[in-house]
Order: sequence, then C-alpha cells, then structure tokens
Amino acid sequence: MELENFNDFQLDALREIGNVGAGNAATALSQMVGRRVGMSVTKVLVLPTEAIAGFLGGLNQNVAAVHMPIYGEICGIALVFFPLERINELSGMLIGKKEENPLHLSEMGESAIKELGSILTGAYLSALFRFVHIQMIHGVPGLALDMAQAVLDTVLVELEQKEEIAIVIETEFLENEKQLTGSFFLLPEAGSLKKLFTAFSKSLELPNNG
Amino acid sequence: MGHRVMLVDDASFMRMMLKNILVGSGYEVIGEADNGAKAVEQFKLLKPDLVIMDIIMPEMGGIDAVREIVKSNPSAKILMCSSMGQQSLVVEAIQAGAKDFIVKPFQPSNVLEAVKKALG
Repeated sequence: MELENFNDFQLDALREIGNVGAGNAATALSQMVGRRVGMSVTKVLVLPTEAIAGFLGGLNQNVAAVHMPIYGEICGIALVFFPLERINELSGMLIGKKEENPLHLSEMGESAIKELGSILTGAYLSALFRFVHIQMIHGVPGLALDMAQAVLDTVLVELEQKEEIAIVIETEFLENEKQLTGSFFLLPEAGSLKKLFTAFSKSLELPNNG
Repeated sequence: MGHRVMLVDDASFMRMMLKNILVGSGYEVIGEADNGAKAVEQFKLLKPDLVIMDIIMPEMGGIDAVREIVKSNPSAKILMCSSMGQQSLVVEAIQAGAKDFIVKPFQPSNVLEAVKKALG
C-alpha cells in the first residue's frame, strides 16, 4: 500500500484512534507513577519507513526504544520511542530510585521501561480494537538504547516483508508541569494496512435499511 | 491473611510491584517465576494457595502454563495479569481454568480485591 493512497477519511480515523489510545496511555501512566498524568496527541501521521529516523531528530539522535512483535489479525512490529536523555528520569519515577547512567540502566530500571512500553502499546492497540475490531496482541518487549538508525536497522531486520510505511502517534505526557514526548510507531507486515483500512471502512458503514 | 502466593511475570519490575502490594497486606510471596515452564515446575514444588500469572512470556506463555497446572491440580487458583488490548487472550485463559484477571497497570486495591475474591 502506497503512502499517497491514504485519504483524509482514513487519516481522520487514525487521529481519533490516536486520541483514544493516548487517553488510555495517560491513564496507564498515571497508575504506574501514582500521580495524575495529562496528555495531548501532538501528531498522528503516516510516514515512509526511511523517514522515521528524521522524525525522531536524525539518524544519530540518541533514543530509547521499546520494541515488540505484534501478532493476530495484523502482524508487524510496535515501537515506543522516548528521548534517551529522559530515560533515567522516567525509570526513576517508576522504580523510585534515580539511575546513574542512562546507557546502563539497572535490571529493574530496564524492566520498568520495557513494561511501560508494553503497557502503552497495549493502550494504543486497545483503542484500535475498539474502533475496527481487529485483534492485535503484542509479544515480549525488548529495549534498545542507541542512535535512531542503529535501533531501526536492528528492529526492521525482524520484519522480512514490511509495508514501506509506518503509522505514528506522537503524544506529549504532562506530569507536574514536566513534559515527556513518547512516539508510538506501528510497522505493519506487507498486506496488513489494506486489512486495517478495509476494517476502518466497515466500522463506519451505515446499516442497510433497503 | 497469611495465604501463600506465587508470582509469574517475565518483568521483574511487575513482580516487584505485585510483591510490594501483597506483602504490605499480609500475604506471603513464596515463589517467583519468569516464564510459564518455570511456573509449572515451581507450582508442583511449592503448592501455593494462589498464582498470579502474566499472559505473554518467553518460552511458555501464561495460558499454556494454566492448562498444565490445572491438568494436574484442578483446584488450582490462578489469577491472570494482562495488559489492555489482550481481551481475547483473557477469555482463553479463563477457559483454560484461570479464576479471574487483573489489567496492567493496576491499582493496589484492584489487586487485593481480586486476590481476596479468588481465594474465596
């Protein structure tokens, strides 16, 4: 499926899914850190895969990425990116102890960040299910702390036949006047996007009274 | 109070959170496992009053582990712990013999309520 095939209706549907998913994600995050976390969806877009690193700030931008396989009616890979310079703060919030070096998180800190990525992915997939009734299950998460291109090279190898595009939902989380941007990426396997947009169309079909 | 609980989750962070909630309310955490296969083995040895089991784990997932445990111990009490978006798996886990489920992330009160209910 080509990028130019996306129409306004489909992008609107994605935006709505992004809003509901980010709402779920903010609730999840509030429960994990034990404080209220607000959110706003800043961008929902469809990008060619080669533009992902640019979106994240460039090929050499240091990022923290939680990645996991997606199974079910649609397969692929989900990625949740956080800025690397904020990762020790985020891990500290979750485990209640500040990490010294962001490139060497403690075992517990690493586990907490992976779990956060996994729970946020669940929040977005759950929103998708609510709209289009397509079941997608996320697998065991992995964590990569590296430059954007290095992370993408590693993760994309696992996806043999991918669509050449990624669905991106960028969300700003606001906790106690501190802002944290998290970007959720869905990289579907070849053929999956067509299934997804067919489901979008079906979910909005009017009942036939004829 | 004083019930013996086993925790099964591949995320050490989640096991720690559950352990803090349970121990703080007087439960005893007698064992932990990070995949379904280890959970089946440990269940035989430890015979806990309750198991809290993650669904998605490496090697053997939580649903297969529930099937194995219930096959040899039909009265085993197992609570599933799943993320949002895993509705179909929760149904499968209940059919396999789990008593109830908790959705991650959880509030301590939800965990304690589900544990109390499962222990009957």
